[in-house]
Amino acid sequence: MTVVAVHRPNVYASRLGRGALGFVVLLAAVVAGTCIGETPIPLTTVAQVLANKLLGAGYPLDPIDTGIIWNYRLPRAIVAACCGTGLAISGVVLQSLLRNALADPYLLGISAGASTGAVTVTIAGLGAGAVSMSLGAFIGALLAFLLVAGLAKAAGGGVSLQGTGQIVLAGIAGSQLFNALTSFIITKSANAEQARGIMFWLLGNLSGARWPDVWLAVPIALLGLLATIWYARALDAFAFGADQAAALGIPVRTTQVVLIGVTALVTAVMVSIVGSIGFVGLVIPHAARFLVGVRHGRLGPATAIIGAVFLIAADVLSRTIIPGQVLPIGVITALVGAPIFALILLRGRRTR
Amino acid sequence: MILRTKDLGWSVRGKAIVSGVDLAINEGETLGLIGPNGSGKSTLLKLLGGIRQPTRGAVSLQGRDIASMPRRKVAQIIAFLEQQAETTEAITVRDAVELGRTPWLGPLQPWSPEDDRIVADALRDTDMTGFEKRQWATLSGGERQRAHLARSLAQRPEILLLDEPTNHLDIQHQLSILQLVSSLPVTAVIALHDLNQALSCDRVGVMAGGRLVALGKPEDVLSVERVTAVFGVRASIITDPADGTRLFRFHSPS
Amino acid sequence: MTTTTRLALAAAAFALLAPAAQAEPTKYPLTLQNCGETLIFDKAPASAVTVGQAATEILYSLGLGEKVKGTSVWFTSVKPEFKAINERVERLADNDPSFESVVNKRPELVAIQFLWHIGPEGIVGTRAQFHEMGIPTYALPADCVEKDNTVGRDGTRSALFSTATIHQGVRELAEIFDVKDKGDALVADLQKREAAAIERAKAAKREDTSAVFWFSSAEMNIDPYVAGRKGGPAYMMDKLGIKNVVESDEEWPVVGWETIAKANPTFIVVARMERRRYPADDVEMKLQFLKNDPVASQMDAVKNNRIVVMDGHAMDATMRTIDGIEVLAEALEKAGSAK
Repeated sequence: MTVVAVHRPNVYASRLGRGALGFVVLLAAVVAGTCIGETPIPLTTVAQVLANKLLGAGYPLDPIDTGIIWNYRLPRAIVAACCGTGLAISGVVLQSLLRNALADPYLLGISAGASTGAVTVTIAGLGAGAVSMSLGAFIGALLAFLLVAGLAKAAGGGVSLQGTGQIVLAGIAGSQLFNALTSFIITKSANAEQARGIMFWLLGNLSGARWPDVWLAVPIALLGLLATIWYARALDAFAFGADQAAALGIPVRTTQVVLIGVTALVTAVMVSIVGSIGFVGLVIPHAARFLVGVRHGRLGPATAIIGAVFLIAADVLSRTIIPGQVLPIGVITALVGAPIFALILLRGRRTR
Repeated sequence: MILRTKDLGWSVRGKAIVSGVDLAINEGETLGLIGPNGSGKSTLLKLLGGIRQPTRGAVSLQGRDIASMPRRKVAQIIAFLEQQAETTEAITVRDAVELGRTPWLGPLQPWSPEDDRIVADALRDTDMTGFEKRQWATLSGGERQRAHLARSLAQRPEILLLDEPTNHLDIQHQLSILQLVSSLPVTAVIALHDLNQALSCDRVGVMAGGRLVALGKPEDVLSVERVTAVFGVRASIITDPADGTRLFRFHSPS
Repeated sequence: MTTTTRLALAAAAFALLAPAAQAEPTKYPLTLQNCGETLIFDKAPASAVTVGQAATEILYSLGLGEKVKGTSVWFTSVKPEFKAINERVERLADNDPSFESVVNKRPELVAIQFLWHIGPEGIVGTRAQFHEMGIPTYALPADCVEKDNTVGRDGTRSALFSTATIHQGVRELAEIFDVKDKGDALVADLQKREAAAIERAKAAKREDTSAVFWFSSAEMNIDPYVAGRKGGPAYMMDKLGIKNVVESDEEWPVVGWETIAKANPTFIVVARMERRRYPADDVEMKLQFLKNDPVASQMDAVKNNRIVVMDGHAMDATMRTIDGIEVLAEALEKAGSAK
């Protein structure tokens, strides 16, 4: 027992050390995201704006520069970090829980449902202006998820390995249904279609991120992260399937319900803020496994940090790659994500 | 009576897989379960371990209804090793065996040297020392089986439920595993294919068509007539001149 | 410039003084090159279906309303002067009509505003599909002259748009329907108005005037759709000596508020439209955003109330582009006198 008592502080210290390292990396990424933008603003100006706002320093600055740094770039970088974390963590949880390396947060019909919700509000005009596109997307995402979950349950999904197969199939069916609904609504839309960016928002876009979005995204991302850390051992135990997880003392049904529920909530909120950004939830967990291994105690936090940094970087690229114009961030995540994914696959095969 | 069932049954879509099983397992005994494929052995083990919820009857563990106990508490008492538990994760043997400590560790509780010691013991007992860093995918069938068993041992259970643990094992490891299990101070219920291995258990239960058709000492239960009736083969018993052990020999039915 | 202006004025005066038919009647069979297709007309079409509000309004302006059997692709309300005639014409669809609904009218001409409706990759059909059925299609040159519709969401122009392509469309439609007088008069009127607006702007113009045209945004805070440097708004700015702060050849590129705010244009032109796909379609929402956004509200144009409201359809390459030029010229005058 004395051995244990001596040992524990070390364990906590090393955990704390890794946590601090992760936080520093994350902070650096957020600062980088704040410094780099569509237009060149000198680093000293950025530092002065941050000093003015955070420390109350009174540097005289151009209000446009101040606004761009403080009200555009900083909240945007924070929201990007939260979305990266949320999506990547959702991916890692679903991949482990469903024992499917191709699982991603949109598997549960969430993205399709969000699209339907968004076009229902914007094009079909449901809610008559009282409901924002984001709220519509959120409601659509949750409805789609409930439908998929209900379908999976009715089809006998649950603790067994076949059960995890059911939810994948139900997710595919649900996604198809909601994508069809989206197309239907667009085709039947009441106003003339100018092809002007029908799906621009749905491809993912962070340019609308402001402080109110930060206050929504941060707690939700933290919720996802904490759930992953809390359930790290349970997720490990799913390595040999749900029955073996149960044999190792995991309340399988409860764990599945809680984790899939949290995943759905996190994804739905993130999609409602920034649209559905692809590839993050699929690729980042694999990249993290490649770096820190498969144990969720490390994998969860590592995925969170990598996801956050990746999305900030992708957002910076999307703003700067074509001067004066912004690309949908989903294009960047796919362009960068797909080759990384291929590389991991190839290297992973060699070590086997 | 450490583990007991009463009119235990499990059916799926109206088809009974296990039905009417009354079984009382004594503390410390090794119970062999035999029966042809599809006779309900695996399902019975899952019911005994609380992995499946019975559709009829109940399982009581140390006098408490297993369904009402927290999963974690059950897993501190029972280790269940199923057949063909596989993974596509790139985990090492050490990772897999460490999973056995799961029921004893809270969500944020750190790993302790005690856990290290238990894992090392489990690896040694299953002859897997030195395999710690090996990737799961590189293991042979027998090595995987032994690693699974090591994981079950790392649970430090009072009851071991093993579903055909000697599958894939070479003869030396078959014998050493069974010897290890019987030497441990645990209660064990083992589903077995090999009737000769069943002969060395304390008691043997015979499953057929989802029912427990016989239960008792091996020499009482494993008669030539019953083996013929249950397995559909002709059998004869011969005695090993070396040590006087009885052995089954099988022939085609006709 | 001045020569053109004088010519235009002269033409307009001529048209006004001599409204009686001076132009020769169309000689059939009429052969016409139109957006990569060769069209041959044996006689003036007796009926037409329009796909695109701009085409509809040109036919109405030419007094051909009675011949229009169906309309489609509406962006905003019809001009007040055509309300009566428009109510007598069937509206096949608010948006894209189906191929069969167009064909079913047995039109002797289909007049097209945008090639992405009927064109090489048309969502209604290709022009060949109509031609095989003996139905000629006429596409307004404004959407195909010096324009590649395969690049960018709304196509990309290789040269600056010019109202000359609108005049060309009016003249060619007038020729097809054998109403050349009306066509000439209409073009003369458009040219006269344009020249007058340019004169007014020149009188009021200041150095270093710049502008951005904000059409809409997919979400209120998100990067807006603004006018590129080759389309209708770019032409307006070019003619009135205003610099476009956007540097993209696409018709309606997406540009971040950061870039726009840093460029700090003299004027912000916002589109008013009836479409309500996005919250920002509502001009009031746009004005609110400009007042309340922490960055946009700091722009000179907002602080000095140099925000111009313009009909969104005028920002497309249509006859209403001239209305836009007039609105912009007036804004320049107002800003000049305020100063």
